[in-house]
Amino acid sequence: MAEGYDVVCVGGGGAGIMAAVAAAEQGARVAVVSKEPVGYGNTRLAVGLMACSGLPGDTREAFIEDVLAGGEWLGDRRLVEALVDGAAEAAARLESFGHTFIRDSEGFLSQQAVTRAGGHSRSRTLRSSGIGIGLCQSLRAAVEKHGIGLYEDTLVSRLVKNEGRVCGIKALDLAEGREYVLGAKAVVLCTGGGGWLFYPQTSNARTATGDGYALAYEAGAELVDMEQVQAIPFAVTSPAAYRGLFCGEPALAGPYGRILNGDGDTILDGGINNMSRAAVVSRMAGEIVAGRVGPNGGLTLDLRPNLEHEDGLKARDRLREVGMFDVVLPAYGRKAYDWEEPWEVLPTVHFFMGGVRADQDGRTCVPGLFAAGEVMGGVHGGNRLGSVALTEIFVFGWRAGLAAAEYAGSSPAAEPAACLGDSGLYGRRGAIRPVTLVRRLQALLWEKAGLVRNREGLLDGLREIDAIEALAKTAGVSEKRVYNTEAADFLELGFMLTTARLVLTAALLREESRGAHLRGDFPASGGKDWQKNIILRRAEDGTVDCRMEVSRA
Amino acid sequence: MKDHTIIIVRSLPEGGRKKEKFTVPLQPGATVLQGLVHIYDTVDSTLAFRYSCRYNHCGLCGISADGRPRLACKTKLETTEEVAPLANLPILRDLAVDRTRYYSRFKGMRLYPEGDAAEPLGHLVEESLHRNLMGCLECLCCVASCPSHSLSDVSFGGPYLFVKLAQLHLDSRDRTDRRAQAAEKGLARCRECKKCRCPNGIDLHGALEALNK
Ligand SMILES: Cc1cc2nc3c(=O)[nH]c(=O)nc-3n(C[C@H](O)[C@H](O)[C@H](O)COP(=O)(O)OP(=O)(O)OC[C@H]3O[C@@H](n4cnc5c(N)ncnc54)[C@H](O)[C@@H]3O)c2cc1C
Ligand code: SF4
Ligand code: SF4
Ligand code: FES
Repeated sequence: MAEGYDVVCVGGGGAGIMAAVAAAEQGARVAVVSKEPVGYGNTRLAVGLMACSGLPGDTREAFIEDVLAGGEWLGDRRLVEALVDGAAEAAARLESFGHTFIRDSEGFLSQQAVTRAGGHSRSRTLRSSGIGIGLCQSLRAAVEKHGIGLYEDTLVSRLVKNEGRVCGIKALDLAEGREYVLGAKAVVLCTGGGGWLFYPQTSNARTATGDGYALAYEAGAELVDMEQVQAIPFAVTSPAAYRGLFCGEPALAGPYGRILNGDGDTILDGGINNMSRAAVVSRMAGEIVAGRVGPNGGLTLDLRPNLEHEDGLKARDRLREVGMFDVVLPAYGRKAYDWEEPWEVLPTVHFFMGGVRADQDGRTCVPGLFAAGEVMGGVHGGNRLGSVALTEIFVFGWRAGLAAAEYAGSSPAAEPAACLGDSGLYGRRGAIRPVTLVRRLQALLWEKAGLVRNREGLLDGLREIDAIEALAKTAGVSEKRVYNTEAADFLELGFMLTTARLVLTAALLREESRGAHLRGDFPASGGKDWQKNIILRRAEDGTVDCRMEVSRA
Repeated sequence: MKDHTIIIVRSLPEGGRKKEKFTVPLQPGATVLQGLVHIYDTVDSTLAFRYSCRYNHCGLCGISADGRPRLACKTKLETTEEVAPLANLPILRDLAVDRTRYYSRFKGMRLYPEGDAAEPLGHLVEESLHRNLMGCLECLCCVASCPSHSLSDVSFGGPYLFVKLAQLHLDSRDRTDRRAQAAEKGLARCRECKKCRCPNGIDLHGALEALNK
């Protein structure tokens, strides 16, 4: 398996596939390596809403300001400009792959066809035929069309470096239980987010274990604003099988919906659909921390007032067509699904705004290493607006793919260090199963770094992370080779511990509440003084090196 | 909390199968997937199965529940006695389908729109059947319910492929003759059959008809 590529994209969600296609169109030899089949990840779970630029009634400036203001001025203006400037082209490219954005009844993308997603001042959001599932079918097809090398069920366990440059990946083929090194002149990290660190209180896919943050960090890249982990206000609380699953962003409340606490007091009444995710969650969190909650620890979402108004009914039908709250039907039944009965909701971890620091073309500070998609930070600042994640992954996936191909074309092939043989992963003896520690870490993160954080809790959390890390050394993996997910758990546990430490470290440093980051001990925003990015990097001695920079919003 | 006993038929990579009995707590509204995760977390984390979204979005959790192909995340645990891998599909281990190997059957079929595509984001009329078919979760449950599909014989396409071909046939941007491809892949066998079922509301038989007309 010494075969080398010009560009290897790690992760087969939207960003990874877009980067691979871009690089392949430049004539580069490209592979996608993904621990799931290609065309999955959070992209598969998306509602398929994608913000687009250049639609009638919209302006470039309005879009840019919406994203920067929504992000509470932590975003990087250069990235946001690139996002907006590339949005229409990215949407068009998806259609050329076979994806379909839903038109009006005449077949046009008129104002009737687009919607206004949460936090946007204009209607600029396209809807997808087949939601994220349809989107991913088209993406898979694009991979086939471009003759891209596919390594599915393959987990990347390390970035391989030589003379300061990234020159390949170490991979674990889960299907066969084989470890090997794959050479690459450039690597594009497209591993998505880390919502699974908070399971079950997350909307995310099983594979969103934050691997990319840890891989980049270990390779010497910088990470920005890792404390900014978005919870989305509405997730179901029961049955346990579905706890934490997404059932809507603020738009779900319609114009007239209200939220009540466990004592039956109305805490938000009407207009929730015009609030940002962060603002709604912040209001809900206050009640939850104070313990004024319902039977399953959540609050009550009452959408009935919408049924008395025409625009309220319209909102319901549209959101239902979009498929935003499908899970409410099996979770709470028909009446709730029809908005005729209130139901219990709890915010759930949805998106990592922070991530690997990169420029508009995905370049990190490590030569040969690029990043795109949710794993990259700096676009959304402290809060992501609805439907902008898909725009982000496709715009920056494309740009990073082009830049990686160009870099590969001008850089001499670096041989990855001699093939790292079997690392003794399979059959390693140990008293604890990795999944036990994974679950312990997840519970810890929701408790100490979930909705509201404070200094004591974060310090406790960091100590507990050290303790789990020590135990991880004693975890065992069975010797079974074929699709042994204990091996994946073991490696993911390592990534999760690193990513968790980065999130908590940044959360401790930001002594204010801003965007998704709420501090019980610093409940107010720090204003302009805190319009700063927190940048983390691995120091020579293995500790976390922290610094702050004035944001470039 | 009540307990529930479930039999899991585990496919062995070296060939053959092994039945094992597990007892799991029956939480209100429990799903088969929840049962599998419970076993994985507390008893045996060598149990191999796939899932990603926990409800109806990824299509990775297909299993056979008491002989019926289903998504584990939508199937009630309480009424399920035996869980087995999807029939007639390549299995890696236990319940996990080898999806890469399954997809390799369609190499070279160019399952993407080809030809003078309409202007992207321009005028486009989408048929309602196309919209329905784009929601196909690719869970392969229908394949497991098709009597004509066989692992060793790639000359017959099977319901999943026919859904793909129908999507493209109904797509005004595609110029390849998908009906001809379907005919080559044995669509004629479907005429008297219609045994395939989609547990997720995809209009499979509508797809077959669209290719047949
Ligand atoms: C329920 C839900 C609904 C959403 N709806 C919308 C929406 O409507 N609009 C919108 O704009 N955004 C939405 N989002 C957000 C959006 O879907 C994601 O942010 C986006 O899809 C991320 O894309 P990505 O390519 O960066 O990562 P992903 O799509 O998550 O892909 C990452 C891939 O990397 C792989 N991977 C990870 N680690 C490794 C490793 N170590 N080795 C190998 N492979 C690895 C994973 O298996 C996965 O395939 C939604 C998110 C969720 C969870
Ligand atoms: S048609 Fe239905 S059963 Fe077949 S793969 Fe698609 S969703 Fe699954
Ligand atoms: S109609 Fe019969 S032969 Fe044709 S795909 Fe369905 S089950 Fe298979
Ligand atoms: S777990 Fe995704 S469809 Fe069942």
